[in-house]
Amino acid sequence: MIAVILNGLALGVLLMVLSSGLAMIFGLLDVVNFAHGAVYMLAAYIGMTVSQLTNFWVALVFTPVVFALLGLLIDRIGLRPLGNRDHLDMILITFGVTFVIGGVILLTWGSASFTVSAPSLLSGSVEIFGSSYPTYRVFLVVLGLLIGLALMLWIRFSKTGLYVRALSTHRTVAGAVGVNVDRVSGAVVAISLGLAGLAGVLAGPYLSISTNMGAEILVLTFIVVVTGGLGSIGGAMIAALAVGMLNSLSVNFLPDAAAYVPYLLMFAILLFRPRGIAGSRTV
Amino acid sequence: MRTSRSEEMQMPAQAQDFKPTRRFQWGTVEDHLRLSTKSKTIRVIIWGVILLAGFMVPALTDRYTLQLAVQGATLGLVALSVGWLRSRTGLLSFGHAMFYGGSGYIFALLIVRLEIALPVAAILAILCAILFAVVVGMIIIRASGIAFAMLTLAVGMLVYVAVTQNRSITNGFDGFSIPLEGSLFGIQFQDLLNPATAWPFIWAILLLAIGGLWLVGRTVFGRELGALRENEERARFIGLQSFLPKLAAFAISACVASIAGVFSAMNHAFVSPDSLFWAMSGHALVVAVIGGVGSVWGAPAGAFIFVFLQSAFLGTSYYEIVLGAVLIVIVVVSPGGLAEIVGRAANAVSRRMRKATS
Repeated sequence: MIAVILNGLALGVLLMVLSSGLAMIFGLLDVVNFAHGAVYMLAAYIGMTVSQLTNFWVALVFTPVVFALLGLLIDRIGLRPLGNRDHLDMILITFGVTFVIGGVILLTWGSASFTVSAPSLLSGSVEIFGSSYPTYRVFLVVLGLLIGLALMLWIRFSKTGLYVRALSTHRTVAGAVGVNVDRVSGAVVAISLGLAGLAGVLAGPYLSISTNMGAEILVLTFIVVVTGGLGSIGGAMIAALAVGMLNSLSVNFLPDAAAYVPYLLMFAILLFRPRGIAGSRTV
Repeated sequence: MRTSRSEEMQMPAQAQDFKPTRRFQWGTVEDHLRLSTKSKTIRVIIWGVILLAGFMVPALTDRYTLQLAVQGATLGLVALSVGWLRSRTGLLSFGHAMFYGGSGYIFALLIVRLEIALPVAAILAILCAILFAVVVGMIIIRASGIAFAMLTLAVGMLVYVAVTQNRSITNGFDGFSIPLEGSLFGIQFQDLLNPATAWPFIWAILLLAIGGLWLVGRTVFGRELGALRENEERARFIGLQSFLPKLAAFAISACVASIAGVFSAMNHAFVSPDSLFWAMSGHALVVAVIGGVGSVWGAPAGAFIFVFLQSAFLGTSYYEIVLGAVLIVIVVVSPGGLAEIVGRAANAVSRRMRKATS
């Protein structure tokens, strides 16, 4: 039972790291990033190569930093000039990015899938309440929860966090009362992509690395974001943990139906509460 | 409504709420009225020539090129359905593979498992796909814009998961082949494997679909859809229904995509889960946008270009990069796609000519 909960948490925190980034960009910039899964996949591949060249810990720090810097650049040259575009145009542009990243990965790493072994420090398993569990997953759960907590505290209590909340409530008014809209948006895009980079590296030893991993996680992330409420970061975090848990429980108790459970959850939420768990705007 | 972020800083709050968002113009009343009888005649002639030229194609090309053309027309039909939905209702579907691949699978299963005659199976498969579209639409069509796009992707992948998980019925990731037995009006179904036989059918279907969807767009129903697309709230204020017309449009679009699916299953005598994967929906949507959804011929033209580009880059992944890059450039520079570029060029030429004659 402990293992089931930990499995649920492991997938849950991975989804949480990804979907909170997606929800933040949507809340602030009104952009649904269809390339989020592809960015995560690219990070997993880059993380794998960096791990092979140096070690896992370097990859864990290096990749998110590079992706965050990339996020700043993308915000400056991509999202800011296109700021006045229609939602659906932005969806199509990010969807184009998905194809470009997918093609680059196929050219660089080929279509084979890879498995990455956990670093030696985390390779064994630990005893938790009498049951043995892989150390790496424990590390993943702890790190993921810490990141979620840090993000929550940052948004609740820091000045930038206040600006982030202000901007996602009403961008124009926030700008009019003197919030530096561009700088906050840039920071959020950087954090969002940095988190996707981190999730990619973390996923390496946990899931296998393949050219489908981006689409698979993107669908789950969308389910999380729609269930949690579009644009709500807290809602996305709760929904991510819920989806992870449900997935783990159903794999254990209803293995035949496991693949459909996240979809059923989403349909149930949409039918009875169309704006999601914590959504303030109707979808 | 979004405004430019750099300008936002300098402008007072109220002023910019009136700044129009830059978006693709779907054609104004003047555009429609400007169509003189003369240009209508020219259009009819051009379409007639295209129609006849299409039927001449098998005589002019080799078998490989013809098979590519058949694939292009099939993808074109799916792209047309996605593009029409986009242009008429403003909805972006990332999951039309569920109708394309889904109808192919139903068709194949009806023949293999229930041993139903091929023409009956084809019609049943299309009807099932439409019914499925109505059921799915009832759940997701109320979600406007962004959420609809995300939900179609999720539902599409749900169908893919369902098909690949139920190995005993669908043979999982391997797909299965369909025996094509019997004949109708003197045509052996077996011959549909040959592109020379298949081409006239798919060409006729494609042009019929283009014409049919164009006509639907010009009916009162089509105009109502346009009103809903532009501003659903105002359309409701003046007494228009919003749910049923959108659902009907979704079902019509699914119908066209499922016809393509059944045809593709017949042409290959094989169905595979690739036809249900998100990449299939994605390609259909992307080629529709690149070709241009504002014009009926844009999406199929995009599909033909894509299929030939794909075969030119055969064996490499460059075409994915090129496709993505072209999509980004098109959306940024000319949201109306190639059709908009061609339309602008044609307008410029005709204006020059008019100036020269007057």
